[in-house]
Amino acid sequence: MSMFSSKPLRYALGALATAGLLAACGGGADTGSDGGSAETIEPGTRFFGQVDFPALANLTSADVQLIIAQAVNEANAQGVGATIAVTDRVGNVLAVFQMNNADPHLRAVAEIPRTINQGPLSGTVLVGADGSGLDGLSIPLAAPLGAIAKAVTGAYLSSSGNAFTTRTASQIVQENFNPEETFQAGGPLFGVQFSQLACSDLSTRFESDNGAGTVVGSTVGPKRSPLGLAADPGGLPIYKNGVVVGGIGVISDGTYSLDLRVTDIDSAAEIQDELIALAGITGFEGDQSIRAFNITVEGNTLRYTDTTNDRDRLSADPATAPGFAAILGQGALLDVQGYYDVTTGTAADVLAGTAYGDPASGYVPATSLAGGSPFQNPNAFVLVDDAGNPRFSPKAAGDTPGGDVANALTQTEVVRLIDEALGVALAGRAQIRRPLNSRIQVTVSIVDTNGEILGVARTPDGPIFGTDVSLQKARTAMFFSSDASGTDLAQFPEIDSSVAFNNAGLSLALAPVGGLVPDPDGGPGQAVTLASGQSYVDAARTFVAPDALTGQIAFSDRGNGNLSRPFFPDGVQEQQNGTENPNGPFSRPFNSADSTQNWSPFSTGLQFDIVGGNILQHVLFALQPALGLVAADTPDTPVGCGLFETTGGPAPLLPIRDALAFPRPALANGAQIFAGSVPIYRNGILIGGIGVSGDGIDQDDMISSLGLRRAGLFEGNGLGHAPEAIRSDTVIPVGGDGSRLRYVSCPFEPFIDSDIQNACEDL
Amino acid sequence: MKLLNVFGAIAFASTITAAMTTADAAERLSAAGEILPNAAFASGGALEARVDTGGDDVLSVHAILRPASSNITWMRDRDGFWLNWNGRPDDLIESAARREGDELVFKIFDAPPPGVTSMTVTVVYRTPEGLKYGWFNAVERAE
Repeated sequence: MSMFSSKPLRYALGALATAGLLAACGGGADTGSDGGSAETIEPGTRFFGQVDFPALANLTSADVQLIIAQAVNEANAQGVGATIAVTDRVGNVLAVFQMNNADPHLRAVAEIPRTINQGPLSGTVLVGADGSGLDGLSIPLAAPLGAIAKAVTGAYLSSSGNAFTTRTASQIVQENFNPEETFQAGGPLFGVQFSQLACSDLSTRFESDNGAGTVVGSTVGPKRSPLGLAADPGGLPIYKNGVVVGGIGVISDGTYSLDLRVTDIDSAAEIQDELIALAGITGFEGDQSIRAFNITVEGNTLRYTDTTNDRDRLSADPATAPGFAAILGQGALLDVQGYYDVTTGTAADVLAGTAYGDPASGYVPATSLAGGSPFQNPNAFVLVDDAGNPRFSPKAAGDTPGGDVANALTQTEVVRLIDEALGVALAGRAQIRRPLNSRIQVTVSIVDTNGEILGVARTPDGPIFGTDVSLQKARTAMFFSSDASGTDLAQFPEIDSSVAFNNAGLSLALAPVGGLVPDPDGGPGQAVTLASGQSYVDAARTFVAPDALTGQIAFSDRGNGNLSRPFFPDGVQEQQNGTENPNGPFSRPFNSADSTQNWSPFSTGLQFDIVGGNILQHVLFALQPALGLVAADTPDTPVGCGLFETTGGPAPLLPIRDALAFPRPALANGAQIFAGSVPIYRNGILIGGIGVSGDGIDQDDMISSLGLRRAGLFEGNGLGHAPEAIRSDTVIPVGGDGSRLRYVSCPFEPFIDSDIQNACEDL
Repeated sequence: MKLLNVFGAIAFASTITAAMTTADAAERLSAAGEILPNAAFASGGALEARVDTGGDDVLSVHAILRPASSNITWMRDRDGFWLNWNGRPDDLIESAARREGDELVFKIFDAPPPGVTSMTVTVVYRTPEGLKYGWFNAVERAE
């Protein structure tokens, strides 16, 4: 793909000239990598050698006790109470401790408003409008859920090469990157907050009462997160000897929010969660060299914390922390349904973590499998179950794409796709890892046209979050490229949560905390309206083209992401004449007259609306004992996002494409709306999707698209990309300003041992 | 490849009955697939599924099991062995069920496959017009 492309353009041909100037597909340059055959793959662009695996390391119970004691010590010094959660690297909750004086609630998920005070959007309230998505929601007794989500985020975003926090997450999920820098594209991980969801069919469960997930006692990860990933500062990774072993999450201010302004230094009141967490991990920090402070993305330095070093703003010396037994009088370990059991209330309930790479963690080198690795690449890691058996071994597709089963992906092709993608990744120069010239570490997922998982594998030290996200990306690219996407989405009804929950026989317990209490009989509650799928289909067909979502356009996740941003083009709030740009058709509006409908990171649009019911249902399940709700009325969310649990069993809100082979919706772990996936075709017929996640988005794009390209070259049977004429970068939305959608954008000179400039020229 | 012999040595009938869980009775299957009520079974216990054929002419019966959080799909043969299934309806092999009037009682397992405590089970029968099926989640009951 080249900049200023001469590709045929569709839908808004009158705007062709403008589009040519604004398209700005990344990676435009002059040197191909493949030359059109497998034999001509350039040296240094494919790595099948051996890399080091992360050392086996884990948190002991004593480690966790020390971390909690240090955190409590800091909270006491600040004069606040806190809820503290610690997880291991794969999301097992090792302890949840709540101080006696802690605020047990989560008030107003995004209550801190920010108002634009210049330009045509002057007066726009960006967050805290209340009404759509999770915005403004106050959830009684949910502080432990917030703490767990923050701990999971610290653990999942980090690796031996990068230490990211929830403050880092906040920086990379907002409408501009950096936040508040208008006319900059949205955050590179825009939408990642709605991953690791409770309804994911990939993520495991600590316990379940509805036939879903992994049962009590299993430590196999990656575990789900009760609220997805968090952007509220106070979630940090935990390290031992340079190896990430877990995360800590702290809630002390009762607010589950985000950092809307990264250019300032938060006040003492705003930073208290983070300081308590920092105190907690004293002695367990990642090396300075890998902290987000030392990593740049798109010219921006990432944020780790709002301290200049670990201790400059702490109120107490962590070394003065009392022993764990001493702090038990100041609070208690807290049972959290679905996440953490308390039996004795003593240190005996504080668990040790698993060691990533050990079968108990759910991740092992593929070479350690009983039957040997299915992959040629010796570095592949795979997911395993309690018994050490692989969970997502490469397999052939069972679907019948295009009515012709002969086109379905074979097992050999799935293996090839993963091998080639891993080969590209490990030859590449990482964006987010230090030291410089580290190899890229990611997860790769392959799906068929039902959304069935055909294979998942990863490099040894990819961040854990990429496991679920790579699958989301693969499914999203496949789904929106399929001829059934419009009809599938059209069946998703508009939902007012209060109605839906009551119809399902559930108690709508999400009442505002201040003065109101949960009312099982449907008293005053907070409405969480989920827009209908048809409204998004209509918007897409108005904005993009009348035949959108009918299989006529091959959408990569980058192209889909263009349509999922609150501005189109991405990040551009207004045109030169001051006219406000519209939101993408899959996004909430940014500046609606009805502010309750506005976009925020807690209410992204279609992405949230298809999983919002699952999230809320799971929250009620997790809080059921604490709120005194009826267990039979608060079942956990089913396995498979887009299914909704009723008292009669699961009901599909999104249709199931092939229930016999894959009885759940095609977006069974939710959709993802940032780049790193492409649909897979054979001779012009859609047959699946490949998703990659774990490094920069351009790197993820390159690995998925080049991996597919090379697998097709090797197989030589029509396997490959969508025909150029139907790729999303040929489309100029009729409702836009003449800008084209994108397809993939690859990094310049991406390989460590090759000087190739444009690796993706010949896709 | 035979994966598991979940029947193995047949236990005494009374023992089977005592440990057995049968999914809710008299559910109907359909060509589009039906979501059936969840089921729970005792640790190491048996599982059956009862469906109402509504007078359908049943030519063959089939059962599919997918362990939770995996992409594994097994099909059950007449003897209770679980074999890999490729996802294609035409390749399903026959399983076993007993008739009780208009109802079919599918044998799923006498004991769950080792290490599998949570799963999706799909029950299928073939009529002259095609397949009818439904699925349910089954989980080991917490004792």
